[in-house]
Formats: sequence, structure tokens, C-alpha cells
Amino acid sequence: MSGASNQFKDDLIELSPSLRAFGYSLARNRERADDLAQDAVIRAWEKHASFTPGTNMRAWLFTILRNSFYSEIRKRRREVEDVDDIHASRLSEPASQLGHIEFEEFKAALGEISPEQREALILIGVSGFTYEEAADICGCAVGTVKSRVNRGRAALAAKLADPVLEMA
Amino acid sequence: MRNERGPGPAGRGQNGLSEPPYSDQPEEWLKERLRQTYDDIASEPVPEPLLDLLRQLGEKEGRQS
Repeated sequence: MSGASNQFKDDLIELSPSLRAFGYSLARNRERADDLAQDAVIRAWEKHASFTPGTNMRAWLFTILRNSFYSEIRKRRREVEDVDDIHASRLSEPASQLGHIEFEEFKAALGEISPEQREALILIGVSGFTYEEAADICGCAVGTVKSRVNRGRAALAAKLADPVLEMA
Repeated sequence: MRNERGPGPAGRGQNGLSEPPYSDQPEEWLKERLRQTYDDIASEPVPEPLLDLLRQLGEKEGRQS
């Protein structure tokens, strides 16, 4: 294996935790996040000759993973995110775990907004990508990313403020 | 306990105190919660199957060359 390939492999290993986390932010399921990360690693390795060293490898990997996720969605079409389990398990939480319950509420609300809004919030709010980089990853206009971030924020705030949803 | 989730709309108006403008605050608490969600996964050890896959990358071509 060449030095460049070794470097590429090392970078892949280093970036794999954030790749998994991004996969989870899209799929909301650990197993699927792992599958997505594995798939992205395989695809990235197959295409690594086309990667330009010195460019943003994290953005490149996120794009590969995202493309896999949406290809899968298009194939299946019947993806249902099961937030019921989260709500059900929450009911049995002891009162002393309110902080944990609130975090679970937040995660449930995050799972209820659209994947596009969720990924925009993660890319901009957590991953540290610029709007331009996020737009490249998502294959859309900068304005669309901005709009998704704003709508995602509003949707999350509305869900967390709605006592009916909280009791669902 | 509602205000503990952050001073966004969920907390707004419930204590009537001097909360910063609505447009700025949700961003900060949302970022914090989003990061918490993200770090939850990112800080986990990489699962063994993925690690194995990463370790094996290039081994085949290495053997062939």
C-alpha cells in the first residue's frame, strides 16, 4: 500500500466516529448508522484515487454517506422512524432522571423533524461546516440550507413547546 | 422544569424574567443539545466490525503488489 493510501486510511480511521455520528443524525438508529458508516468507508476506499489530498475529506465522506442514506430511502420508501419506543420507555423513567428525560424528549423531537432539516442543523450547528460546505454536501443551494436550518429550529422549538406532543 | 430545556420558546414567557431576544437564544441552546446528541455517538468507541473493516483496507492490494 502506498504512503498516500496509508494516509488516506489513517484519515478514514480518525474520521470514522464523526461519520457514525452523522449517520445516526440521519437514520436515528445505531445499527443503521453503523451500516451507513461501513458502506461509506467501503465506497470511499473504492473511490479514494479520485479524492484530492488537502481538500476537505470530512465533507467528502459525509457526502458519500448522505448519498447512500438517500439512495436507500428512495429504494425503500417505507422508512418509519419509531419514536414510540422512546416515548414508551420514558414513561417508566424515575422522576430523578428529569435531565435525562428532557434529553430524550429533545432526541425524540429531533427525530420527528424532516431528515433534511435535521442534517442541516447537524452540519451547521455541530459539525462546523460553513453554509457553503453544507450546501455542497447536500447538493443544494446555500439559501436552501439556511432555510432548512431556520425551519428545523422552528420545528424543534414548536415540538418541545407543545405539551400535547410531549405526552404522546 | 420547562425552563431547564433552554430559554427558547419552550421557556419563553414562563418566568417573565429578562430573557434575551427570542431570535438569539434558541440557537445557543439548540446547538448545545444538538452537540450533546451528536457527541453521544461520536464519543462511543468505534464498533468492532467497522474497526475490522478499516484495518483490512488495503491489505488485499498490499498482498497483491
